[in-house]
Amino acid sequence: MQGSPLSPYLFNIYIDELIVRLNDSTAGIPCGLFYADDGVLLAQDLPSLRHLADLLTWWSAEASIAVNIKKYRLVLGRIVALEHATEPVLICRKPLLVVESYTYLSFPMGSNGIDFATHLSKRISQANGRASFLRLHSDG
Amino acid sequence: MNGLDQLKWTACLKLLHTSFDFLFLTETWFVGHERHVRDRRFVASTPLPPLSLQRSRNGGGIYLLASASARGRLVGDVRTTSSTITFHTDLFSFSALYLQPSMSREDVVATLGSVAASHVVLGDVNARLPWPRTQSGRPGPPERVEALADFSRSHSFTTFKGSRLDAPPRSGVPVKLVLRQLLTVDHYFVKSGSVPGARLLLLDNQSIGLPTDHAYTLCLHLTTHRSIPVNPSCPRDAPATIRFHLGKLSDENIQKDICAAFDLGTRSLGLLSAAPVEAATLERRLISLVQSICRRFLGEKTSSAAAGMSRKTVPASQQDPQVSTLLYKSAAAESRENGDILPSERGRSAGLSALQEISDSLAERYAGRALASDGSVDSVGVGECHDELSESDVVREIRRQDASKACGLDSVHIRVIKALLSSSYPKVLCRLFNLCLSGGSTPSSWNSTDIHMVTKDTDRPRDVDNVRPITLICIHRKLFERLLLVHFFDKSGWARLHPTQAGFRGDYSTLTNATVVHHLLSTGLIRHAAFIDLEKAFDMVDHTRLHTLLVRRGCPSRIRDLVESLTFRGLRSRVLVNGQSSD
Repeated sequence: MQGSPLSPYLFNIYIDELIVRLNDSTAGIPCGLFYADDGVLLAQDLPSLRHLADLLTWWSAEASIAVNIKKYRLVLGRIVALEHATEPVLICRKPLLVVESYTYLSFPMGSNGIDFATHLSKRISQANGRASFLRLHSDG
Repeated sequence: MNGLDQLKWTACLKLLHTSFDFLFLTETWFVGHERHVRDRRFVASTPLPPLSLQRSRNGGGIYLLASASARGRLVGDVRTTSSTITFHTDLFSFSALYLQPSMSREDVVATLGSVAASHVVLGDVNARLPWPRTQSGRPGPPERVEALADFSRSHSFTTFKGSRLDAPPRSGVPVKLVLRQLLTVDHYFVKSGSVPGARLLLLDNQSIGLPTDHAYTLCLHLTTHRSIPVNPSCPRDAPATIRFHLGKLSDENIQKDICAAFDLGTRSLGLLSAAPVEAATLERRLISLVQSICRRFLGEKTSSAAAGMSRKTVPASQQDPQVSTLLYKSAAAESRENGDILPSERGRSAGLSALQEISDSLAERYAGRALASDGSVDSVGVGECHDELSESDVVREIRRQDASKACGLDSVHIRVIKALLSSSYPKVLCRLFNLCLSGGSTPSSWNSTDIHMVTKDTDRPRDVDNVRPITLICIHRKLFERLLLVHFFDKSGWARLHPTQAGFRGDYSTLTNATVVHHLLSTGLIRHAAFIDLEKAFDMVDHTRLHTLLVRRGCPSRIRDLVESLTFRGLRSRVLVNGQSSD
């Protein structure tokens, strides 16, 4: 039920099983991070990514929770991108798209992590917008 | 013309709303197809025929439509071929046929064979059969009649022997299947004897308001359907939310009067008496007491026009600069939760070191997690579950509620509740909550919600595409759930979540996850990041699966009962659009 404080928590419990499975394999490094329904699969190489993708696909069928295809993105370096092109990574039979950057939880994410230049300039323009909005209306 | 024009389409949708769960439309000519497939009631259609055949009887196809509540009963995929649609519910499988006049005998046999496994086959077969009396004219064409007869015999289907009925069945009847009758009643339908309680009806198209040149609609009426509709229809005259003049609450004298009146009411109604009482009864009495006090001391607002609007619809009046400034301020206050992002942005040098720090501490947490994650979480919470909530817990929870939120279905606003803090109200509420806890069930009135549509983008017209549903839930329910979370979930081992989950959790924010991803990418620990998005409809959660998960986690049965009582039992929602309500 939307609007109830309990539902998101139960949703978290529902998907926790998936997250435990995803993070089962390695020591120390998280492989699947989730913010509610917003998730990211992290891997050192393509085979491990494929493995995570398979885990997700299985779980999605098992738990009847669909994975939103539109937002699949894969951020990686150019060389790996070529490798990926020969045989795409599939999640729920849908191929992952390769992109240079992706906005994750409102942070622009590139292959070297958060792109601070872009992030900052976006924030600054937002701040400017708000400031001028206030100036406009401050005298009522 | 047999095209599905706007008039017929609207009539079909209306039927879905009032009487039918599923509706097959046969020999549709795909007129306005692009528009139809976008409708939310559209489930499937046979593939579009080649252009040369479109708009003719040989190019006709089938549509499957389902009402909102029936859609949830579909199980598995809906299969379509060029002349059939098959779908499953939890009990039965249904197929619809459209046998084009030009189909060869072999094709007819093959098509029939492909649907033989279904419990029910409805069809427009473009043939006159010798047996149902309702058909007029000579039977034929012979080849097809023979093929159909073979099919009925070999797969033990019986053909329709319907009775005429002049009015549609009443709404709320479980599963109905409908086939549009074409021309005269020269089309036929087969069903197996294995579906108990099925009754076939011929509906007069005129009386059900279907504007077509055909006389009847075939209707299959199944009475033995065991699954409970998710949204049983809600009475149309459900009382509207009452608005009170909350501004008067700032008057201290009124506050005192309200508290005194409440204490008096508590005594006279015996809300705190030792006599046993059911949670639902207590809830009902409490709400009506608070409502009557509000009515007496605050007075009802007369304009009900603005009642349906939550505060987020206010931007419509953006011309008023003062209103906009106020809005901006409240928006800024709301966005405080994102404030913690700022430190990371002060600059690369300073920000990065801060990030580094967070990342490292998180990495440690993950390392420690490896041990705890293997389901060895149990028994911790069991002891705590015998705890009762105390009055001070309730008071604390009420204090931290956001007073600017709109009130729910029960018309009790959080500001009224805050004003009642110094009366015996928290004590009564605490009693109510503990009754729920000990009984493992919650008042059914808590499961009713109001859904309001608020405008997404105020610059665009307020049409159906531009509104977002906002659910308002009862204030007591909200408080109870919060308390449940704080006291019985957060503390107990069985509800512990994996640390890589950050959503809706106290110590985590979007920054937590973004930082981890950043750290791992920038240090080269990982080179691949695949961003995904789960379908976050809590309604999609499989209830039995959730139940199993809770059991496996060692969730006490009482809490499980409460979760079930709150989320899955007799949910009722009504949507308020332009002051009108529906279910």
